[in-house]
Amino acid sequence: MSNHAWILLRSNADLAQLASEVSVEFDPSKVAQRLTDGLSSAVKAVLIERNYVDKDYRSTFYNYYAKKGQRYRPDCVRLHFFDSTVTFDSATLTLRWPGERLEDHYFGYMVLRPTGIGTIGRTVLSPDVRAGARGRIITAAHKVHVLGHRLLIEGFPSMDQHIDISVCAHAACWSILRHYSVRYSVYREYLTHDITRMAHQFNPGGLVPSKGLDVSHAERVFQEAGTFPMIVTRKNKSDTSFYRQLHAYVESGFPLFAAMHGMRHAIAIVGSELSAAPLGRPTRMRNAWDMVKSLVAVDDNHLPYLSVPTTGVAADYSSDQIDAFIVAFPEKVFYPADAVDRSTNTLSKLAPILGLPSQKKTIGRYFLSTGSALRQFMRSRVSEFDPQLLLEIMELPFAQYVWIVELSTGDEWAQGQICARAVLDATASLRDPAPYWLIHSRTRALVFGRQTVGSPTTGMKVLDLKGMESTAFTRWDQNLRPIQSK
Amino acid sequence: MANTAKRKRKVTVKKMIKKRAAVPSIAGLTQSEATTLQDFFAAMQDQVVPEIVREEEERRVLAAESRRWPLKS
Repeated sequence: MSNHAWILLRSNADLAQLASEVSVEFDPSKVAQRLTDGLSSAVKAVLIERNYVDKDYRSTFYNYYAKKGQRYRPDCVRLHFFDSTVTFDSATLTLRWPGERLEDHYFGYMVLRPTGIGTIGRTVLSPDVRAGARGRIITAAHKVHVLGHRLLIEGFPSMDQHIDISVCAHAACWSILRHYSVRYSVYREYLTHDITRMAHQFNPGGLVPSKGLDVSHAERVFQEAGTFPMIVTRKNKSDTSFYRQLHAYVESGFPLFAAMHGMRHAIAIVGSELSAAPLGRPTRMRNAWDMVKSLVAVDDNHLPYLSVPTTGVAADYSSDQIDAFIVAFPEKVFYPADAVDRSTNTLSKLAPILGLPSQKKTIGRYFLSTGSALRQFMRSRVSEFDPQLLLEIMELPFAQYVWIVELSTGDEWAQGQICARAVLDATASLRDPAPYWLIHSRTRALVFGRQTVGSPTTGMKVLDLKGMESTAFTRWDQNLRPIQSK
Repeated sequence: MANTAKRKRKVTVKKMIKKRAAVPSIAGLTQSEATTLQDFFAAMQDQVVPEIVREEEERRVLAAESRRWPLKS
């Protein structure tokens, strides 16, 4: 039997052919059902790659499956998904496609493990072909080698739990850390076995079948991986500050380990879907969280990019069930979202100086970024800013990380515009009464030097901005990738 | 109890007045705008920072409790 086979899909039901192409230890019927339910009809062909050596499965094979009396295969099967324009010549093992780039017609891959149960292994799928996926998500470009082609696929990694040696929390930790290792060169890659080992203080001798994890074990995994994890726990169901923070971190590009205590379940939150226009009549300053229709989750019981509504009972669960999350920080983020959340409301006191709208008309949004990303963003939109503001931003001696607070009215929100932006120092202490680098509207900017401790106005500059009254003042949406359903 | 609260309010108001009296002029801002800015920093110092510190302590205690939650499904 050749190592490669091609299945053409007239409809998703044709995925049932997997059962005749893939042997029983990969549980092809269950995999076919999962794909039939979760893939869009844009996927028109599947390339089956047999005898694939998967590093994550091998890590568990060497440390667990090879030690068992039951004989397990060391190799896996990998499925690659393509659109309708790609063809395959099985005699020469050649892929053909129109245009220059094969990756424009490629939707990602899924590894199948020979474990009988929980067989869906490392998967990176394009969110564009996930049925029901909406909004914007955190992604990284994952490298794939197939039949001599080197492709990149934008997505978020996912896998099913092994059930016997890893549970949902391991899978969520693995997804987040694999994303970190691909997205940021400072983090190394951790395999499935590494994650199960990192959760515990000592090695009990071989890989012990998992009896589940506590939240503290997940925290430990992130610590061992060189990140600085912070647990944020919900006070009660009406704790909207908890959700505002959750959303702020996702908007910042940090995938979150979310715990659902009642369901004893853990998932990774990797995106959100925002409403274009504000809903309802405001009675207070609103936050971007009030515009969120659903979160996007990587849940090991589903294909990735599961839509989790903020309310309602139609789905398996809603965001109401999330009652704690872990955000895995890089070093040098000392000022948490909680503090930004509290201080944002106070910005309205500067309305007489900056010409801000009233609190009731304002929608606040905040997220973490870097000083260099801010400069890059402004450089790419030079025409939106007064040159003297641009000059100040280029010169400010930012620490690496900054919090960005953006204010907009309902109309501006609907058009992707804002009316003011504040830049806060993410290395500020909790007791800093002036954690600001800069606050500016269309007409004025307050620039704080942050060079003298205890004296925020020392070295402060006030700029009267010109030419920004009628230009675009674009909301900064750079950290997440919009899903373009196919 | 009520008298203590009243006294505290009086002290806070006195502090605010003292702070206002010391508003330095800031190039580019009128005196009333400089006062607005000073009020902004006073609100951060007297209201927001204590709220942030209290909130962080509360979250720290909650996080300690949630560390024991089992996750399995």
